[in-house]
Amino acid sequence: MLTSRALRIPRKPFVDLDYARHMPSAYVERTKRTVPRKVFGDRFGAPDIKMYYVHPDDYVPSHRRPWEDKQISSHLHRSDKYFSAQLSNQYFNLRRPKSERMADTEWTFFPGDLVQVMVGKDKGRQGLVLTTSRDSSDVIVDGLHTKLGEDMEGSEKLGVDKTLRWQEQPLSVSKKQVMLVDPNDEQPCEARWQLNGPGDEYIRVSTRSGYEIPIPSQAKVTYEYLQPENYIEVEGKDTPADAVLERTYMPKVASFEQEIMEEMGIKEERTPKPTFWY
Amino acid sequence: MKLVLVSTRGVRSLNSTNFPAPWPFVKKGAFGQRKIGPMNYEKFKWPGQNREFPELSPKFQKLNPKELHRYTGVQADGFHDEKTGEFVPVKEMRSELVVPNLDGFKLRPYVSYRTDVQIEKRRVAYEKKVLEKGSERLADLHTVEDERWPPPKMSAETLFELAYGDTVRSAYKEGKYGNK
Repeated sequence: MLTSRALRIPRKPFVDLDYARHMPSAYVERTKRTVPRKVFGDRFGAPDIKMYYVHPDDYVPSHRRPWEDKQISSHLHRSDKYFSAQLSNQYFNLRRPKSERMADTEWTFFPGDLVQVMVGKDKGRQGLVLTTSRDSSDVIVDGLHTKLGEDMEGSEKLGVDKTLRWQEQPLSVSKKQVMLVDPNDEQPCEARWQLNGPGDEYIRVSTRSGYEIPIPSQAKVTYEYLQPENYIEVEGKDTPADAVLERTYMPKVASFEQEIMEEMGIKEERTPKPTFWY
Repeated sequence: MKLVLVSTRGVRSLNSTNFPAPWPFVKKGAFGQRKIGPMNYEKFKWPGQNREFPELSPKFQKLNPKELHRYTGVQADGFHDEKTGEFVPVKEMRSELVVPNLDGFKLRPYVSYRTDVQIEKRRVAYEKKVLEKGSERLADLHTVEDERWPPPKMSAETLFELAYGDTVRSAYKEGKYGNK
């Protein structure tokens, strides 16, 4: 009964929607440099002391992915400065305040959403969300909230003329610099996750009017596919879904070693020592 | 007593002596009977600060510990008899590679992302069946076992049922478990 009741609580798949969903977490941590440089263990049961390249509390999140070119350069540079500061430290240094990341269950912005900018020169205009960043709780809207910037820095040294482009700047979600648009009256609103009528799925509803804001299909896009049904399998490298889910397990009263020996034709020629049960 | 050359000009350097271990009670200057516990020289030993010693080498700092004598990096296939001084090969210690035949093997290094779609379909269908029937046991009776997600767990009861269930039932019918 407990299992059945637990099964009846619907899951929240919107928590996992992200463009970089399939990036390995160890790789992401390494690009952030929030991995231990040295672990001091063997302390008579006391917890290990870890000396990080950059302590996770000192990591500064940004809108860009940590493995992008400029981001990884800045992370490496910062870890070097971090280590130098630790070596030359004479006083206790307070860490920067922790970045208060919004909970994934409260995040309601996805790529492809129609939003309205609430600050800046484009205040009041509506646009589509281009990318989101849950670490820094901000959003980039297509074509809005822009700043004139150089497209390729240092291109003049390479003989290319300087090119200027209006570059979108991040808009903070936690500070309400950008809000979702209510499909009922095209006005800005706040959203939250709520169970639908039958109670089998979570939907995103406007807090003001109660209308459902559907999740755009662009939210499910990842590095690997646009839609998981249309994932292009690589011949010879990807195992098809049918082969993955095929059930080949045959229960048998035997240990793993016995099963392997039987299957591989390995014969046991030694005579075991006698055992006694008391 | 100093193991590392320390600058006499009062200039701080990167020698390990300038960076004592974070805990003070293991080595506080006391040696011998007065030490509290084992002395763990971790600061400047393997592994290094940037993993520059991927493997343990007997040549590191000319330590050559006793346990690493004749260290060849491979598994031994015998032992030296202390009495006769000869090497005794042991058949069980010799590695023998038994390689299965993988012709027509279907699994590949990666798993297609379409598998997630299939799993989601099966999970939704099974959860719907559970809600309809009211319990997992009743839902399992009306579900194709190969289509169930998550797959049924293999428990001791299930294994006993599959291996000895029929035998126990037939013996019970024949009255072999009576009180007589």
